Amino acid sequence: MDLAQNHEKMQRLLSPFLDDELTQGESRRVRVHVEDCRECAATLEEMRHLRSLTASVQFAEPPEDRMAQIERSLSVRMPRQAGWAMIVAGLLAWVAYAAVLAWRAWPPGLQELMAGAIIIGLILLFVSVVRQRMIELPEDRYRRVKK
Amino acid sequence: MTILEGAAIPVKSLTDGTAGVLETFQRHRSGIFKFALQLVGNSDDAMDLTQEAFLRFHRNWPAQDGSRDAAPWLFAVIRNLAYDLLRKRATRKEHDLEQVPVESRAPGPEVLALRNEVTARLWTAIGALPLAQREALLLRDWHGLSYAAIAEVTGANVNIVSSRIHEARMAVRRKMGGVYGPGPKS
Repeated sequence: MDLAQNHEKMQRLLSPFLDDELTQGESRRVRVHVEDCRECAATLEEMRHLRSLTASVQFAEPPEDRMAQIERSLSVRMPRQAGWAMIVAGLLAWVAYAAVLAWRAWPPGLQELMAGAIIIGLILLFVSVVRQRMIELPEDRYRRVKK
Repeated sequence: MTILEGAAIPVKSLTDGTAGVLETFQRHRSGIFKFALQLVGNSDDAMDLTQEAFLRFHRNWPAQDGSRDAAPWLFAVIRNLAYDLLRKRATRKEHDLEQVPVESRAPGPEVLALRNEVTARLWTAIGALPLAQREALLLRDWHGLSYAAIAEVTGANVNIVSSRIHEARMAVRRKMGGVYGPGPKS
């Protein structure tokens, strides 16, 4: 690597050197280069000034009333959300527990009865839909429209 | 276990959680607001973004690793929200036939609390940087984040962050033309 290339490489390391983001070996190489290179020494010094100046810029402060509003909102939301979650989780756990207890104490023949009730219910729903269709058919304005 | 003992566990976890969120809010609210202000340039928008960032933090807090620093996460959220806002503004401007790219959109000196010739000149120079360089420079020099934390916030790798900060400093240095005021603090 010639001198110009080395200078360019070292110059690109000035920022991380200033920010203490280099390894020990890299830092040592940059330090040695800066001792011999007036241009890099001047750049490093200006960067140090700029960094300090940038850090000292003062920006507008946040409006305190809006900040207080956010803080209130955060302190209210968390217990409310957790409260609902705990109520729902507790209720679900109770329902599951009750279902297990009921299943264990089930009288003989009742399971068949429940399955039969579901099947009869489905049949009733189907019949009611067909019946409604039959009743409405004479008044259906679109019945002659070909599909 | 009695009912009271059972209830004490989630209540303690909830109290700790609320305290954690509020503590994070107290610690980072000013920095997060100012980063939003530095990107979007007006207090109302910056405040809205800050509120949204902390509500998201609150929603995601249980999923976060409590031992990790919340700052990079919050800065990343603010950055994404600010980018969305800047894109919306750019789209609105295009409707108005003022086609200004998002990259050149820098907040004016109204965001500065104390203005003098040097800080106004510095802020103008920083404002003229491309957005990626500007945010990297501000996150490093104003907010004091490490290169690794900036990489986490911006989604770029550490070498790119280093390069952006260097380019930004060189550009600001050229624009300042050797005017640095009374000198550094340190």
